[in-house]
Amino acid sequence: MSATTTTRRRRGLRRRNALQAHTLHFGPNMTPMVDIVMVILIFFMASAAFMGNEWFLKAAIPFEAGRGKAAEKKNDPLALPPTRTDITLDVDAQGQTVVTLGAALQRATVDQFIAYIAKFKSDKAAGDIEVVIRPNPKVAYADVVRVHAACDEVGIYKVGIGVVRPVGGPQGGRQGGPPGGPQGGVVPANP
Amino acid sequence: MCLIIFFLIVGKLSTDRGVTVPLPESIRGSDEASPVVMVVTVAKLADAPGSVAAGSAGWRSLGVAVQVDGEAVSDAKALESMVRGKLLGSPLTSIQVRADKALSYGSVEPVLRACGQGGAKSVRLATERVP
Repeated sequence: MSATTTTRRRRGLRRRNALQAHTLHFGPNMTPMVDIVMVILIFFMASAAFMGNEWFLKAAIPFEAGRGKAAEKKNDPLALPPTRTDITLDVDAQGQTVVTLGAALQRATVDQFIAYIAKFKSDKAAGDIEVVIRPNPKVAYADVVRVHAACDEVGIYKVGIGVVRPVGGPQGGRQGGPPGGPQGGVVPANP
Repeated sequence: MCLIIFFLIVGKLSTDRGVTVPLPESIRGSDEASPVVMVVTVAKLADAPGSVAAGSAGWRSLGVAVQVDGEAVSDAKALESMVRGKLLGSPLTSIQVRADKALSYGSVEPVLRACGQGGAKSVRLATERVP
């Protein structure tokens, strides 16, 4: 009697090993999955925190970029040359940035320009358009970026930014620019 | 896990080169894909007091201080030669221009011109992501 009781006590007090714990557990073991999910979750949270909230707009700059050469489709002799257009940024009397897009848009505000260009968002041909932003030096840099981002939003990825050609600098690109603004030398490259 | 976080921190610190400037906001953009990056920071003089002494009269007249990978650049010629040397060493270098959003384009344009004269076909304008 006493021997049976002692045996039961020993069994009751004996520590279970992992195998016994596993055999006593019913259903799938969720522990490894939870471990992996937690690690992945923490990894993505940490990476999102460290990546920051920055991104970049690619802008072609002048001179050696070879306007037109990089955009040629050598395998397609019938391909049309890319459409090129200038976006002129200037400052009005109130100090606000005004945008001129050829004859389509004359001295519009940046918001009006963004609303205008958004109409071409579904146009697949937007990817073939080359745009040169020609800002007046007095224009706010933030507005130049807004206009650039608006072009990207529509799907115009070949965006160049006009600069003043230095005296005696390298030749190439296109002469001319907006009245009172920077002069020529703008050569956008392929993205 | 600790190693992952360690490498994330080290990677972040290695990309933080130069003074921190408020960037213009942008609704569109892309992440940096190039492994080799040259960070050109264009800050207002008040934002980069450490580089004022090293800045030349040329940059100072524009009201900006220019740094390349955290080191002050004396003038446009120096920036041009640095860009040229970097591109000669690794032609796929991505040039990031981090310009203060409070600047006018006339202050940023000489930097872009120097990059262009140094042989860069394009630059990446750093912007703040707007959701």
